[in-house]
Amino acid sequence: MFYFIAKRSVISFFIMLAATTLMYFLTISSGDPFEDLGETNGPEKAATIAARTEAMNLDVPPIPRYFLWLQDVGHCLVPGGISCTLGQDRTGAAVLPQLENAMGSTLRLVVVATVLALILGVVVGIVTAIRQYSVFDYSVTFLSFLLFSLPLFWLSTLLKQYMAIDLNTWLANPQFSYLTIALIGVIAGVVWAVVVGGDRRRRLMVFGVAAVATALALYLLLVTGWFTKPGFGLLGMLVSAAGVAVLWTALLAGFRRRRVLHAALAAAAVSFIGYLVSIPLLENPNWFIVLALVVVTAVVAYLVAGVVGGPFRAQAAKIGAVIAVSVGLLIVVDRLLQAYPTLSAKAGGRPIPTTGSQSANLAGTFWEINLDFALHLILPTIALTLISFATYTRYTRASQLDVMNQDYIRTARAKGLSERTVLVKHAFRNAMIPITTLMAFDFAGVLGGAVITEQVFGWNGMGKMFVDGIDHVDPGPVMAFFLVVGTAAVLFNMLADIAYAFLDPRITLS
Amino acid sequence: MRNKRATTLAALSIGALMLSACGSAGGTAESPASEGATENLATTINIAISQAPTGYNGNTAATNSVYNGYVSNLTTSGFAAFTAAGELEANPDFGTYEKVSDDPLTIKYTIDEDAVWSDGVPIDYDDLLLTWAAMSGTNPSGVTDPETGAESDLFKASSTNGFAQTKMIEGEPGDKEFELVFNEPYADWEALLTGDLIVPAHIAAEQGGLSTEGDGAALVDAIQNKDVAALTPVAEFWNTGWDYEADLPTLPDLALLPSSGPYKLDNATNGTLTLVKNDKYWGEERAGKTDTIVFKTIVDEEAVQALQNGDVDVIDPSSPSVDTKAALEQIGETVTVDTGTSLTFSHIDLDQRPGAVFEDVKVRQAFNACTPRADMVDKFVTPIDPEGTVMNLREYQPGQPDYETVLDGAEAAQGDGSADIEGAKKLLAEAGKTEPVKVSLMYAATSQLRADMVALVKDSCDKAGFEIVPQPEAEWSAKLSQPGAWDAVLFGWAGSGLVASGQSIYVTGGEQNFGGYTDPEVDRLWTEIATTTDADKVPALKTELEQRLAETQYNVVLYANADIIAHSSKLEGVEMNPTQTGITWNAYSWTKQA
Repeated sequence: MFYFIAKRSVISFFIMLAATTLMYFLTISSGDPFEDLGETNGPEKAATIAARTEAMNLDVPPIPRYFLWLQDVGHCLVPGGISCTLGQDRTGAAVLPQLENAMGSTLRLVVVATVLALILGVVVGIVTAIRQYSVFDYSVTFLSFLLFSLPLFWLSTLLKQYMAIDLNTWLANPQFSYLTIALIGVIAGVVWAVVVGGDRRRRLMVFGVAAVATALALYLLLVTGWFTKPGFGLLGMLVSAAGVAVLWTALLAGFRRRRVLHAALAAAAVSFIGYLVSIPLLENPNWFIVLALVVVTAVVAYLVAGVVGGPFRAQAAKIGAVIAVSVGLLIVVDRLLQAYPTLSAKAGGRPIPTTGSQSANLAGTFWEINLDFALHLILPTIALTLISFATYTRYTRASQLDVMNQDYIRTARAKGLSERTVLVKHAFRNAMIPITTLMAFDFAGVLGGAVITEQVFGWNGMGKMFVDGIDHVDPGPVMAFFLVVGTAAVLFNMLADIAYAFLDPRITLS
Repeated sequence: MRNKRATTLAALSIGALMLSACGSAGGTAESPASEGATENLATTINIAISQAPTGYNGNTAATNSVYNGYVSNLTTSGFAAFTAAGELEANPDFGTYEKVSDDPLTIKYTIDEDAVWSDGVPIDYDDLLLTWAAMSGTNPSGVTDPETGAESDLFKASSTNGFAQTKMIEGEPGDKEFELVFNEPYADWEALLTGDLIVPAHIAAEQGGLSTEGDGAALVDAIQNKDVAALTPVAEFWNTGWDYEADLPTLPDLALLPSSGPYKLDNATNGTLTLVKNDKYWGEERAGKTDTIVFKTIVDEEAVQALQNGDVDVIDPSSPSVDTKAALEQIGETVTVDTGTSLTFSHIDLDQRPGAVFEDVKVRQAFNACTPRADMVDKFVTPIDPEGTVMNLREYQPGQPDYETVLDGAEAAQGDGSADIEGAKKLLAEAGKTEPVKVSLMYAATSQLRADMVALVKDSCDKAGFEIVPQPEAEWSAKLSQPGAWDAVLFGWAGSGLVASGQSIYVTGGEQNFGGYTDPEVDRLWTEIATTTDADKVPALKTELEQRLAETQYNVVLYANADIIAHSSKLEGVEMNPTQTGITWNAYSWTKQA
């Protein structure tokens, strides 16, 4: 293991060195660093050229210039000595602080989208694999290829038009005609019927129930003015907590063991009490208080569920904790929704922005500020998620199908295990092994940011830094970007290999 | 059986839909009132800029950009500023100036008695002296370039043009009155102490380790006595100490950034810069009307949707296309669109050195005749700005007040710009050209617009006996000054509104005279123009100049680019300014209905 890491590190170092050389010379020969000055004739032109020449060392021939840059990187590797700047950009400013800022906002933007795409993609991928060649499977296949081939800038423009401009206008005075409500109900009915599947009779029933329920719910939400003052309310929270308990039990334990279900419901009750208790505490908290409350509730739910679980203590306690955390998440969402009316007013009645990463000069509560962050994240996150969702579903589906045809799955079924146990315990775990590689690549990509998304939605992240650097033929920022992304790619590749060895006993590192 | 049931269900659904078509649910919300608004005026105006400001001191070679200028229009004051017509207008809030002598040219400046920086320190002699010291290039650092042998200056000024021609400003610390004496006449003297030129000397002195006691006596002393050791840290701070971090993640210490204008810097986050009203601003004319002004960095392509969504209230896209206008007009009446002509114009320069293709004036005239200038205007200008015209002058753009007067006097320059193939053929024949004249026409490879324009030229001029060879170049600006690298080159110049800034384009051996044009008459006129200190005499001289440039066909001028601004219809007072001053030139007077 140690030998493996040492060997990989040495090889990786030389790979990076060679890659930086290539990248550096590609960058500096990609254009003219003075192009933007071509059409200026003011007296400032000569001074700007001189300043830029000095900052970018343009008076030094390319090869020594590359070594000057290497020297700047060297300052960062050797502790002490000259301060680490990673060189200068064309205005003579140090690159390192720029890189730190860019990484901060990139992480904020891309991590949520990647995690969302991962969860959604894996869940949908597994369902399509289980229901192979069904209408649902074909629909998802069609949809994911459609999304995969969408150009991001075009998708972003559409999102801005419909999800921001039009939605904001609608939110100012939320109303639908009865015809629209009915249509939405019908569409929801069709989607559910396709997702749930079954024979014709069952599909018709699902369609009917889903259509009526959706239309009715929408009608009630509109009539009660939910869209202007959203939130779950006491009753909503109670129902949601119970729902969450049933869902997690179905997924993790099944309903054969009644005690586990009872334990889950007890955990939901604990969480709900936690919710009631937290109402005054969460008026204007900070992240520490929020986290502490979630942890406390989880611990209590863990204990209570363990006691109620009786003979299945271990399993019930874990499920109880999961339920408490899920309800905690719901409470956070509820609080954010409650902050909506005041934030919307502060945003001039148009809460969903098309650009930027936060509102300027927003003075408000913890919830208002975080809702503001969330609203700024919505559009870019949807754009990024939709596109990487496609990859995840396809890979997961293929991998799950592969596993489902293995002998050990047939053996598990022959033993008489429930379908849930076969799917979750035997198939899902093994299907995830190949996905690890994909995840490693994706998280390396996260650091690189999202070139187009950042540009389109006005985020100052790594992608923008890279694009601006290329535009200006300015190797400083481009190489800083490349160092981070290159190192991450090399590193995560190594991590994926190590993880593989842990997940799959048939593989050894050597 | 099943089919029947399905049919019934479908019929029922359709019936229900028909019934429900009348009426709607929800929609009782009253519009929420914006917080803190008084008298129905909004407290904040948001302005889109395409790049984040890079520094507080926009006078260094590295920070001199229009985006810094957009901000400093509001946070600084000068003795004069460019108006929407592209003319200089005195700013009585800041002070007064008058020419007291022509020989030597002497201007007397008086700073307003109440003028103070937003930290309360008076604006006076030390500020002006520091400006002079920094912008005159008179403080050699003692460090020489090993290759050129030239000695660099302590201050890395964006330009020393103007102040380099003046004597040191005489005075005592604390003076509000002083005289600027020129060594030689200087035509653009009025534009000298404008914009954001004056920076707070007390901050620079303090950061450079000098005492700020006695109205900056220590700094005044150091400059007057050329004390390099004392000035070096001050100059270092002046050069880079006021720079912002790239993309403006946050502002430096606000104590270092006092304002002399109606607004002051307040905070910045992720490329969004906030200005608030300067409570120490003494003036009345330019006092801010809205409490807060926010600059948001938004790339040009995304600005239209941001405006439509209300994220910003004003946009000023830097190179608008017909699509920009169409998208803006589609929004409807919530947005007001204004079009006009900018001072940036496109032209084709011609290599006329001895032995080059365009050495003969007849060939140049033939090329001018066959170039479809009116056609280009129809394709690229009037779809955006319906009033756009062919540009016939070189020193004035159609948007400027003097354009018509000067054009009336310069007969050779007049014309409607439509391609005259027959005329071009005749001129070529007169020049004795029997074979097609091969012209390598260079342009920026990255620009689709330029490529389209070259295609139009080729289409038309090939019929007249030229053979145009398009030459797209990525490094076209570097090749401009290489004789022989091109026969003709299509690019743009940004007009400045200054009197003498074009000199180096037209005089013999001028730095930007890329085609090697030479004409003694033009040289003589330029010398006269550059030393004319009476602005009223300039149009007559320039009329003569334009006439001569047109007769000798210096180059082919095409059109002034169309410009477009758009703002929320709730906003009042927005007016396009074609000069580099930009859209915010009068932002202090804007108001927005809540």
